[in-house]
Amino acid sequence: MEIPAAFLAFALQDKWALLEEEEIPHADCNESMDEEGSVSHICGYKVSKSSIPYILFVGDLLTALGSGMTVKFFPLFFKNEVGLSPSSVQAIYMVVPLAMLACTMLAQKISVSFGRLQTIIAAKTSGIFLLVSLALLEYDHMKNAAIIVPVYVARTAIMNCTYPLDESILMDNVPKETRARWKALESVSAFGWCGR
Amino acid sequence: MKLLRRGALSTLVSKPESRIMVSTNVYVTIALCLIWGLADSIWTGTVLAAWIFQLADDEDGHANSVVGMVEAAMGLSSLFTAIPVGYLADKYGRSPICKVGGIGFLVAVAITVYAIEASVSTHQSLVLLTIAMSVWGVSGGIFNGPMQALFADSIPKGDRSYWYTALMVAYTLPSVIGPLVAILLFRTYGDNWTLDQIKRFLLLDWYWKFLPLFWPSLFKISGRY
Repeated sequence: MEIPAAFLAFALQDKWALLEEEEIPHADCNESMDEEGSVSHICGYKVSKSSIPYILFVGDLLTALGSGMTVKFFPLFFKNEVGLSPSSVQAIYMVVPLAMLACTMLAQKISVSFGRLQTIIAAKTSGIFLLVSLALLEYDHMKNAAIIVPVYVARTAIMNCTYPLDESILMDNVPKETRARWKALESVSAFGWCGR
Repeated sequence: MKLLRRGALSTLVSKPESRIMVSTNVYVTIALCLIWGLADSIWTGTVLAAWIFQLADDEDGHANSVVGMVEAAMGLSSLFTAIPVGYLADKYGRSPICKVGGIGFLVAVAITVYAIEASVSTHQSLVLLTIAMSVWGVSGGIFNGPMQALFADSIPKGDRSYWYTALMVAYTLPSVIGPLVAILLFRTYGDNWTLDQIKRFLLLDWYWKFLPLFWPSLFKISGRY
């Protein structure tokens, strides 16, 4: 699988990218800007365009550091604590992407009407609430798979469904000549998270 | 890919008004995510963690910390590579850096296959897996930032949430297949967490990684604008 992916890496070309002036805003840019394009009005607050990537990065980093301590060990939690068989754990990981896709598409639709940032805030708040619920269930020794698994699936789907919105806001607000640097900074978050 | 071109996704998400045809870079990136979604779902998810856990448990009983250390090797190597590479990609262009990352992935595949298939001691397997994960991390650190920057560079502002949703669909949808294959395998050979069971699954995955080499149509993606 990784071998054709490695060869496809050679197909990407800088010459096929758009020029800066070709990036004409429309469609999902429902966050307004001033005439010079340096200040955005998001959720009623004035935010300088240059500060948006920093705000996104800090939010992303905090989320990653928090979930990094738990996400990678969920399979082992299901195996050792909940006592699920290998095929049951795999069934959970089969349902998670489907739930995530449904939530991603829903989030994109909602964002067109209510705004990308509003959608992200609502989703992250719901995800954190579900994670806390999961911790409380474990704390109360309620290791019943019928309760824990749906909460886990919903948490994972909702927390991860805003990725397209996060990325589109980031890339809309960083100059073309610094995009690779900003994407590279995500590695700091990825390290905190330690992979998917 | 055909589904995306015909706009099947647009019935499910809000499609940008102006275009469904974008740069070739966008389609290549989506194809890459499609492949990675499948590969990641098979080996970097549950089964890899369980495999390392079982190996480490046999070795010295500190299995949880070993799982964390091997996984951390990937994250740490990616962390130290990505930031300087991001600067280089902004300065000298994204596609040359992507090619270096592609070579790194081939090296990582070779080390990982050797770590799993070679007849070596448990300790050596763990060391080799740690090295393999580090090379995956370095290659990912080299490749991911420039690839995603190029993806963003190739989409007009205002269309990005649509294409990032398409990218996420491409990565997430095939990741259902990995667990499905695992269920079938565990149901066939015994539904328990033994080293032999997990090893059988990992090896099956590595054998079928070579099949797409004979799928030349992947390399003929075209249609710039």
